[in-house]
Amino acid sequence: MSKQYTLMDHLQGQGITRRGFLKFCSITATMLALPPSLIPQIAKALESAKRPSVIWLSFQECTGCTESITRSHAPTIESLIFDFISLDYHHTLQAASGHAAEAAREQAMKDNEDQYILVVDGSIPTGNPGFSTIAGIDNKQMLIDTAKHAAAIVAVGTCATYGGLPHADPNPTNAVAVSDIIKDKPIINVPGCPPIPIVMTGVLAHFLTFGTIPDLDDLGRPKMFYGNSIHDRCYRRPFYEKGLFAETFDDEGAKAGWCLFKLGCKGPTTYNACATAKWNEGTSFPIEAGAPCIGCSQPDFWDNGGFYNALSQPTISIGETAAAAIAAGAVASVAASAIHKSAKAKAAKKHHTVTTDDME
Amino acid sequence: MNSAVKVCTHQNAIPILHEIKHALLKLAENNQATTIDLSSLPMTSQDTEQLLSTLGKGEVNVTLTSAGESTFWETQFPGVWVTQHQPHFSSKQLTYIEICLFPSLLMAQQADITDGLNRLQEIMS
Repeated sequence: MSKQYTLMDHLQGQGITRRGFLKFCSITATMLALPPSLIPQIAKALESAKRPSVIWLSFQECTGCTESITRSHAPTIESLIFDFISLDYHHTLQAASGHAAEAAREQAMKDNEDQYILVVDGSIPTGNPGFSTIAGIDNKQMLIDTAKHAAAIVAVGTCATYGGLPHADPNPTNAVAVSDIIKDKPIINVPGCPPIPIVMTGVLAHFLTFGTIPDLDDLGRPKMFYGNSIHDRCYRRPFYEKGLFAETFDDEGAKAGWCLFKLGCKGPTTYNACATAKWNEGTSFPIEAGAPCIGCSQPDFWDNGGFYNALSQPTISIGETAAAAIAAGAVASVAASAIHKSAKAKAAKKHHTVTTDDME
Repeated sequence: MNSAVKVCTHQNAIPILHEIKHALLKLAENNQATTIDLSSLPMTSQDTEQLLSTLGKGEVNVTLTSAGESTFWETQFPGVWVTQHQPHFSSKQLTYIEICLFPSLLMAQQADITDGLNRLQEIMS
C-alpha cells in the first residue's frame, strides 16, 4: 500500500474529473447516511484521504458476515478492496494461506503501526483456548496481539459485538464480545446477524473519509445507521398507528401488508438501518417480505423469547394458566401480570425454542 | 408538459410531496435550494415509482457520464429536478430530488475548466 496515495489521486488516475469527484462525494454522503448538505465537507475530507490498511480477523463465527459484505453494492466489494481500503488480511478472501497468510498480517501490522483498522467478526471463546485457534494461536491471544497497534476496531456481527449465537444460553465456550476483552481502543460495534452490507462498508468509508470513528450510541453502534428503530422507519408504521395488524401469516391483513407487530415483530425495540438501507442491493428487507423483524442487532436477541411472540405478550399461554388461577379463586389479571413478568425474566435466562406451531 | 397532475395515492409518497412543496416555496421566496435523498427514506419501490410518476417529466433532460452514468431531468414542476446516479463503484441506482434553479453538479468546475484550457492550448500550439 502506498502511504501517500490519496483517494483523489486514485480517482484522478482513472480519468475522473472534478465534477465526477463531486458526484462521488454526493454518493458517499448517501453511503454514510449523511445529509446532502454535508457534501462540501466530505469533498474537502476526501481530497486528502488515504486508503487505510485493514486486517480482518474471524473467530467463532459462521462466515455470514463475510458473505454479507461480499454482497455490498455501494461500494461493491471489489471497489471497497481496490479503491477504498487495502485489505491486507482476511482468511476467506485472501489468496495466501498458512504461514504466508500470517506473514501478511504481521507485515501489515508492522507497516501500518497504530494506523490500521482491525475488523473482527465472531465471538471469542474464553473457556478453553483450544476451542478456536488460527495458526496455533488462540482467538483471545490473536485479538490482543492484533489490537495492540490498531487505530480502531470495528466489531462486525452480533457475535463480535455482543457474543451472539455462541454466547446464547448455555454458552458452552464461555464466548464473549470484543469489547469484553479490549478496553483501551475505540471500538465501533456493527451488529446484525449478519449486518447490512452497506452499513459495514459505510463504517469503513466513514473512517476513510474523516479519519475518525463516527458518533456512537450507548451500545457502541454508529448513530448514523443505528439511530432509529426499525419501527420508526418502517413503511408499515402507518398501519400500526391505525391499529391494523396481520393476525396470521396468511390472513387478509398479511396480504394487505398490515403491521406485523402481533406476529412477533421486534421492530419497536430494534435499532438498525434495514428499513432504509435494505438488503439485496436495496431490493427489500424482512418486513417488506412479510417476515417480522427478529431483532438481530440487539444484545442477546437469541434468548429474548420466541421470534414469533409479540413484544407485548407473555412467553407462555396466559389463557390456560389464568383460567386455572380463576378456578383457584385468584384474580385473573393479577395472575396474568405476574406470569408475564416472571415469564419474561425466565425467557431472558433460558433459551426459548421456536416450533412450527408458533408460526401457525 | 403533461398538465394533468396525477394524484399520488400511496401513503409514503405523500409526505415527500409535502416536503417538496415546502422546499419549492423556499426556492420561490428565498432562492434556497434543497436536496432530498430518497435512499435515506423508508420507501418501497412502488412508493418511488408513484412519486416519480406524480412528478412527471418537464422540458430538460441531461445525461452526465463521469464516474458512472447519471441522468437529470426537470419534472413537470419547474425547479424540481430528479437526479439518478449509477455510480461506477456500485450496482445500485441512487435517486435524489433536487429543488433548485439548476443542479450544481452540472455546472463546470474550476479545476476542469483549467484542465480543459491547458488541453486546448496544447492542441493549438
